Amino acid sequence: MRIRTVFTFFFFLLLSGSALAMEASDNADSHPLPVGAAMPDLLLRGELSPEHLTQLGLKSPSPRHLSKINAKTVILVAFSMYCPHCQREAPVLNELHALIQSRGLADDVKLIGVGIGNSNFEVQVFRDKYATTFPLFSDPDFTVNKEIGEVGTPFFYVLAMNPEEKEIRVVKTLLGRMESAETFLEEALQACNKGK
Amino acid sequence: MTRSLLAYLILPVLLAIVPALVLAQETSIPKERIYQTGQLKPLDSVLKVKIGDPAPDFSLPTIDGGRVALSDFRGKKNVVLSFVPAAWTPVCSGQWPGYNIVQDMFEETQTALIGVSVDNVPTLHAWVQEMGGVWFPVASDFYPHGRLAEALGILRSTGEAERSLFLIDKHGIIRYIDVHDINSRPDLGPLIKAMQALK
Repeated sequence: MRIRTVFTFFFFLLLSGSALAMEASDNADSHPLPVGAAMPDLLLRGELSPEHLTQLGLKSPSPRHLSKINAKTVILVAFSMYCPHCQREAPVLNELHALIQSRGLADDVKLIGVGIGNSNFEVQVFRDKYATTFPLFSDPDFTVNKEIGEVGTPFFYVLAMNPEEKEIRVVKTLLGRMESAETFLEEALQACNKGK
Repeated sequence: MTRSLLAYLILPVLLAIVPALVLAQETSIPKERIYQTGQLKPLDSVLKVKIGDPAPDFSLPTIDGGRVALSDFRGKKNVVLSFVPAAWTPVCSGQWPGYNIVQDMFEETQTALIGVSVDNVPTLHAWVQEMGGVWFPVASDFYPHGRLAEALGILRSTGEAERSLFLIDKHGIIRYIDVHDINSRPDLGPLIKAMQALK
């Protein structure tokens, strides 16, 4: 074998090592809902700004059902202020939200966060620290956490909302940080279209 | 310079950069390194101090090779002691990284934060590196075993400290105590509010 080929092979082997490090705070009990499964109609807690309530088509007071969100697709990110990966992912989440707006998809595709095991105060810390632009809910007693499969964080569920059939279907999942906002949004939209 | 020679020179340079990129990957403690303790008795101690009492003085070794003493802060800063039961266990591993994003709240209220457990220094050091490091000193109450925890009345019968928070003002007086259910993480809100009330 030519020596140049050998060097190239080892170079790419080293490079691929970086892709293996999972950028997530995973846990031993996690059992995510698979693609195709029905998502329970989660009861979402937390204080939202009037702007975010309007954005989602929700009314006061808390808590509100997931099915009440006015959207064709909901991208739900399970996060925690205590999770270092979520802390680092925060700017990318804002990018994703901005991308949805700039592509003119804001009426159909809505991004929400759920602070797993986080109180309203703790969600506010995250919101303030990272100037989070999209709605964040809290899950102080881990109720939502159990319903969504005790997933690691950050965890993304792309959900197809189907109010006529009274169901919410999982069309895509991702554990850990996304490659980029553009890639993730592309994949999410593709997954939604596939489901139709 | 021949083309192949140039290629052979570029490659070592690239090989030098790639490991640095790999090491720069965010690490969080992989789940297989977390010891599953299962549900524990929420509380297993009898508190010996109350709000208004002077905090017991202490001098403990820290993971950076120094020491930290309560008297270091007298007249200068408030102090929060954050006790976690054990390194490498679930709730503990998900608590201190959160304090990394509220350093400004501590600074605004002139409050120092000290993380403590009964683990020895090398264990604490490894665990804190694995979680990505923290901005505050981490102290070991390992020897004499749990002496500070014992003085506060938070040493459990199995040797760990309770998951607890103590806020001590600049005069060394205890102003807030949360001895929490060991199985869950204390909400940050009440602690921050107590710190802000001291201003």
